[in-house]
Amino acid sequence: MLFNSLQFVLFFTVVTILYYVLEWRWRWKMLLAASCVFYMAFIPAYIFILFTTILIDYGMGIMIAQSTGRRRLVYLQVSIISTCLVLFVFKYCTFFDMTMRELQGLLGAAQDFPIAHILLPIGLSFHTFQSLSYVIEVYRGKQQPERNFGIYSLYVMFYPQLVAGPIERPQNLLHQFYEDHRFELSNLSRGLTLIAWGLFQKMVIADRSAVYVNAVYNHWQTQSGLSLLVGTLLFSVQIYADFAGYSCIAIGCARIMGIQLMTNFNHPYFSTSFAEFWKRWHISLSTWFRDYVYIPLGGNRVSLSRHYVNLLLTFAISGLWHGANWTFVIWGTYNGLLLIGENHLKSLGWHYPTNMVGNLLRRAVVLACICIGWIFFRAQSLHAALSIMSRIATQTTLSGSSIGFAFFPFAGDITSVAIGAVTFIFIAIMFATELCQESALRRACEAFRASLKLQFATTVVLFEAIMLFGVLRSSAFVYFQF
Amino acid sequence: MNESEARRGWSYICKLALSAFAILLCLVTSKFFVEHRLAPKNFGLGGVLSQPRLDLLLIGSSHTRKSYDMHLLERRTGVTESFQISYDSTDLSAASQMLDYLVARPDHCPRYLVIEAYSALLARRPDLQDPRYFSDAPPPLKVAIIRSYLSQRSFPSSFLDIFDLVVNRGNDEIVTGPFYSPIVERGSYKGGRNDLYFSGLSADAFSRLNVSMNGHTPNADQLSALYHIIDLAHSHNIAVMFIDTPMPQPVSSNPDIQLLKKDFREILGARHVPYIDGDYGFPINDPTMFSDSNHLSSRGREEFTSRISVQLESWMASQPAAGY
Repeated sequence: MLFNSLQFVLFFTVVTILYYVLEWRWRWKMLLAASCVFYMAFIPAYIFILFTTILIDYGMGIMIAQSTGRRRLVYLQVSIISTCLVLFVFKYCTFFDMTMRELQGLLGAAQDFPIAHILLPIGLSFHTFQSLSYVIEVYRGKQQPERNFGIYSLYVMFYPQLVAGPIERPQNLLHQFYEDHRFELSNLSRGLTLIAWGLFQKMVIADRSAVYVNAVYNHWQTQSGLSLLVGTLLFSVQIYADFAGYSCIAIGCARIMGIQLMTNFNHPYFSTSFAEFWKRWHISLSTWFRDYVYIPLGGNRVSLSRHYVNLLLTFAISGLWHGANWTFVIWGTYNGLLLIGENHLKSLGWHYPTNMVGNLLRRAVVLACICIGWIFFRAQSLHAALSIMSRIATQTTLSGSSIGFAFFPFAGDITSVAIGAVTFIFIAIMFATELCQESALRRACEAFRASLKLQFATTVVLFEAIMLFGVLRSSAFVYFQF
Repeated sequence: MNESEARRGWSYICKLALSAFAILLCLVTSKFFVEHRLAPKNFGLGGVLSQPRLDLLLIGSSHTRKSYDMHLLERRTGVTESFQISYDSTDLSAASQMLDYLVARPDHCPRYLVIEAYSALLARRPDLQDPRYFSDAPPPLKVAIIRSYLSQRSFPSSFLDIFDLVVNRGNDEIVTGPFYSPIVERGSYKGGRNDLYFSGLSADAFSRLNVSMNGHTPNADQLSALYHIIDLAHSHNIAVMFIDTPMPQPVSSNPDIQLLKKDFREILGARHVPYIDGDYGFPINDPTMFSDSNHLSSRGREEFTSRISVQLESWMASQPAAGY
């Protein structure tokens, strides 16, 4: 059941009405049942896998709280290993299998074991990480163990953020299920605007860009350097609009029910450094890795070389989290290297001028380097990624005809010109809106957030844009595959 | 739940829904009645309706667009009042809808009509794959397209498709009209496109061509559209001919395609309507003649136009209404 489908509109309407009609003691039960229905709409049987991780982490959370000394660590390890095992079996087994085969092939050994083809349960990486954050927080004593199995299950399964985040922390979410949220018009208005903005990002920006990106990246061998360059830039837009759009819809849905989810994106493409980019991009995951991987490894309170190793390791693991393919590991490592380079230059006392031109230059450099990384993220193989980079570098020409042909993948015919132009107009609108929130107009934006009339008008305008220019055929969100 | 807050909430949602749908309805209604006026003036339906007089009209799919060089055709046949309407995957059902509309307007009724006999589409349920056809269609033709589509499909998918078509398609062309239409008009001549060069295939790519067919049984709706076109042409004294444009040998040799070509030949033969199989005599084994699995390259287009011009010229000259 995709957020951008009619089924979800119906489902969300019914669940929200029931939520406010029912008394508090029934609400969480209804939400849990609704979340099960939502998850089972993808592949019903996989709810048992989800249930297994919930059961293990729920039990371990209580056992950690009841134990002292070394036993606490043992229970934590059991929880982490068993949850990661589920992740490994369903997400990385095939990848591991393929890598072993390739290694055996290289060494000339016989390949006599059967290949595993396991379908990845939707949103597995998200809910296992959310579940892990609970156990770790209980271990650290920052969170009381949740005794109510139903409420704990709802914490892992809460349907707006079940399949693609934001990856919540127990301190932020669990207590909200105990609160008796009263209906508030301001929540409804703000929530609907967020949903409309999220759908706009997904259906008008991401899905339109996806047509071009798929056409170019699926047949990269026959594309010009300029088409590949435009395709890469559009993929940067697509992945952002797709994922930020999903997060917006999730936050908006929860907001209408009076539940606050954490912000997941904060205009990352306006970052002036790589460190800032990762504070603004997929914030719930970045902070997860910071709190549970990077800092336990020693963070930056170690020697410089160890600090760099910590950074590289954290980003490589983050890459692997995104997908079971070497391209993702390289994407993660590449981003780690960018951060190390930035840190190193800073430690040498090198910096950009702090005036407007300097800021613009910093933004352009960060954006360009991040876009190069997306090539590894989107390409189907390492060979494809390197070939695409080489083609962009050596075969990009800016003649009138090459620019004309660069529009072609939008539709494959003359309408590509119109479709491409409108897509670029909407991308400009999206970034202009974000720029307003980044700039001196921030106060006006905050005033907007408080105005019901402006929110009403914005929601209507976004609805018209989605209906008239969005891709109405539902397509899955990119991050569902993770 | 706070009653007054809940009432405000319902009121907010109702106002929001009503406003959103009312504005959408206004926009879509305006679009329905106006967008055909923004259609390019020398391409598709917008083009044919801008012609002061029409002698030869070709109706077909992208095959027609990529198979006829209208400049060359006019030079070779001597017919200057010619035009082609070509939208992607135009089938017989769509051709009959267009013809219905055109014959009702004497100014736009052609003397000679060439319909593309796209054999693969004879077996397919009528469909609308090129939304430009709908966008360029005047309101009465739009209504006919919608009616036909709804009658051939089941609820609710048919309604969702029509919603998509009416509300969502063609808006990009409207918004970018001031520069999109001139681009289309600059690259078009009498409905054909001259601005793009399509190179031929390599021998290797040619040898890998294939086609997947969904059988060879002619679709009942397509057959009735075929009969309707013939009847309509006869009742309006229009000389009609069917031409299947050339396909590369690996595709053309598909048994289902051969059977559908046979069906065309037999049906049209029984009605004494001329039919030309474009494959016949054309170098369908030459990879340089084709740009993909079913379209001619620029070189192939020139070759085919030169060949077909001779046949068209003699066919037109043999018609009682000749004298162009």
